[in-house]
Amino acid sequence: MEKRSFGLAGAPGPKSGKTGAGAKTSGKIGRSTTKVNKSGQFLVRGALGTGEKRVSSSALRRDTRPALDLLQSNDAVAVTHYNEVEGYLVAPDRYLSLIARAQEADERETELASTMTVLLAAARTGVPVPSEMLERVMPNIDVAKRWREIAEFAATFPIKLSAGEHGEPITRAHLSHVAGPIDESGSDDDLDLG
Amino acid sequence: MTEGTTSTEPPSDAWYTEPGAYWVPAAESEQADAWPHRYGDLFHAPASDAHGIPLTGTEGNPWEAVMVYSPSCELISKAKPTDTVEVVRVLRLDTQPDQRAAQAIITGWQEREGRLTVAFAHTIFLAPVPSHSTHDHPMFAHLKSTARVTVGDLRAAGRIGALTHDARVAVIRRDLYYRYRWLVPMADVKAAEIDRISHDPHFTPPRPDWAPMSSDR
Repeated sequence: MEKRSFGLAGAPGPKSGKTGAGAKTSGKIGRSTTKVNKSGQFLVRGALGTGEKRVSSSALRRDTRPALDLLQSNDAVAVTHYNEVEGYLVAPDRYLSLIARAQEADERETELASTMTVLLAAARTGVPVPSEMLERVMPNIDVAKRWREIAEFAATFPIKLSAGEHGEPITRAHLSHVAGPIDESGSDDDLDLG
Repeated sequence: MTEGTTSTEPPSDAWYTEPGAYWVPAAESEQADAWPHRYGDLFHAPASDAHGIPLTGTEGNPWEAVMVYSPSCELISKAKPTDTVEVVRVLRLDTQPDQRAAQAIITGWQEREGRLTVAFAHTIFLAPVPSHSTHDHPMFAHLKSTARVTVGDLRAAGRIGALTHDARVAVIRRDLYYRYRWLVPMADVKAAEIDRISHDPHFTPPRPDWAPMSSDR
């Protein structure tokens, strides 16, 4: 059984009068044909070429549960109002993932800008700092002759490290400097060291 | 060092001080009792460790030099010639055939895939000791190559250079990162040293300019 209409017409809801496990309805979300099976699972057929799933705002209001169930099999569902996409529905975990990825992208952008500042300064002054990018424009460096330039640049140009030597995240720590002097180093007098 | 407690410059993760600021001028450090032996000082390598095992590289060549790795207090007031202290091997930078590796040892970082990453955390770059007859060339300490030597053998081998207090702060910070992978701001390490030294009436002089004896004791 399949009925085509705009929104989620025919999906189980208060007005349909068909509820319970035996209800079997179908409808259309945007340009996708949808169907609710016996177990209440909301199915989508004939998805858009882009794979985007749509639900009208009125259908979302009327048939909230089936619309939300779409999120079990889709990253996002477009919410339309008069056929215009006005927003997207995403599942909570997907939303958190998107936020995290956006933050990562922001951090990466900041990181890249910081790195480029250092590399551009080195390139402008011709200092061959260790860099994959600069290696292409400053190959065959004789460190024995140029070590001082590198060391002075490294000591004076501010840098921000992004990762450990294997790419691992860096643990940043702060010291609480209230200890004062250490009167004696540890003594072995009271230890039996064999 | 580019990060200070009162600096208005942006904080930096830079590892080392400028090369000209590593070593106490020989005219000062070679005066009798002027500069005690301390953590970070550069010595000629004794021929063998405290157990008589030769200090040689994988090809049998004697170590070029050693950097003191034991706390200063183990070297100064109560050290007997038979006491042992920890040292790490120091190599000439020009022993490294890979120029890229040598560059990264100097900076302590490198750019990879658009990121600045720590490089060779088990090394500490050491600037040349100016005008020294045998060690006026860039070097690095290899923190994985440790040995215990007697204080007597170390003294007999002789000091090459006395590390400045500023450079010692940088060495402590790099050592912290090597041992625990904790990246501590230079300013924090220096502040801790200021607090420790300025409150220590028994600190063997000369004191750092930035850590005068506190008047509150």
